Amino acid sequence: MSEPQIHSVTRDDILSLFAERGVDSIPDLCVVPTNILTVGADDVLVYTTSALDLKARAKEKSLDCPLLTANGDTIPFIEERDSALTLGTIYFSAMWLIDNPLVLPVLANVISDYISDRFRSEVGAKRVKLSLIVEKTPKSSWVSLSYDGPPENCPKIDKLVKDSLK
Amino acid sequence: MTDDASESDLLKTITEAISDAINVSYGSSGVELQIIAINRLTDVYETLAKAKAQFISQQDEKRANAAYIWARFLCGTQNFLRIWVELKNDDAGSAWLALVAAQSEIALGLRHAECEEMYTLARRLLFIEQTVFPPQQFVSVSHVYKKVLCSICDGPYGEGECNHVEGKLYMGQVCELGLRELVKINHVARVAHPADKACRLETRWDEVRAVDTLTNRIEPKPSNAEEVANGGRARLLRLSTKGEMYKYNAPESPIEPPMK
Repeated sequence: MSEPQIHSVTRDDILSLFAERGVDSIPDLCVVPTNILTVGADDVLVYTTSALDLKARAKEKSLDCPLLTANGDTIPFIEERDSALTLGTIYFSAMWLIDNPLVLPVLANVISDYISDRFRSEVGAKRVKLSLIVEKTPKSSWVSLSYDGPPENCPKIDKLVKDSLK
Repeated sequence: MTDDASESDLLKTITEAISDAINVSYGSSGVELQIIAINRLTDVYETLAKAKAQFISQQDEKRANAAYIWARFLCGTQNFLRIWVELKNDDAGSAWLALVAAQSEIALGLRHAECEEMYTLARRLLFIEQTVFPPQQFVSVSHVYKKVLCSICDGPYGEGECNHVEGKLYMGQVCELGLRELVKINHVARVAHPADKACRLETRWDEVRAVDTLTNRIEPKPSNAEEVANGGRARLLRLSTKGEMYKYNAPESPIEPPMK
């Protein structure tokens, strides 16, 4: 089995990026629009419907993982037409990670259960796209992580998050 | 169906109908036998639907969910046989749609239950897709919507009182997402691995002729300049995942072989 391909980028512009898109309130744990890091000035922010699945599955485990609004409006949803599972981008604040060390593995299990449910019956090509934004230093430094590959190689997010903070 | 004996009879009827259908699920199997098996699967499906309605009225979620899973397997098996019947009827387009429906229905059932026979059918379907049909180009239309509703409670999915999860079973119904209030069409693209293999380029066109992508037959010259410029005519509509069962006219006796 090949090593998972994780792309990790350290950034200092996350707050300004969100503000430019009309998002000025970011909960400590949330699902952010799927295209937040790539959206052009003239494009609209969108969520994939799997972002809602993540929220619903987290709610089943009594975890609040809300979606954001932009300029007070609901951010629209894009219908996924590819067989790949494009999970929403999950945002973790530094404070949430300090306060919830035992909750992170629960969220990791929610995501891995979702992936295994989704691909349980698939016999053809399987692909997962997952991304995270982790706040390393409050309001000044973040790391964005992304994985794109087969579900069997997809790392658990609790390990990914912990590794990103080292 | 109210007691264990009749439930056991129904299960036996279902598994026998599927097993007998699998026995004639090959390209070389007699088409009249395949049609008999297809019609029998529809009869069993209808009996199961009545039983499921009873389970729901009794609020028996476990049995209602089991009925949903068996219905997917009955429908998937039937569409597996339809691939060969439609090919023998020289209708490659319908055969392709039967393949896609068979893959979709069996996958829906397998999301909720382990069944080695159905995994085998799923693997055979992938092999049939890759060897019986020529490689297809798929088309993806991406829409942006404002609202997503839950098919179980009709409320905004994941909001307020909605505690349902997409893909899970609730009293014999699977939770599906209903996208509402179209904001815009984001893009149309050709993709290698689409969510719906029914959305494919059906005809490819060049400057002088149109060719059916399944049969390779020449079709009438295209009249739509835009479609010519796009390189062909595509099916863009999504195939419903709701099970649809078929009945064919009673088959005639096999043709007598020629005398030597």
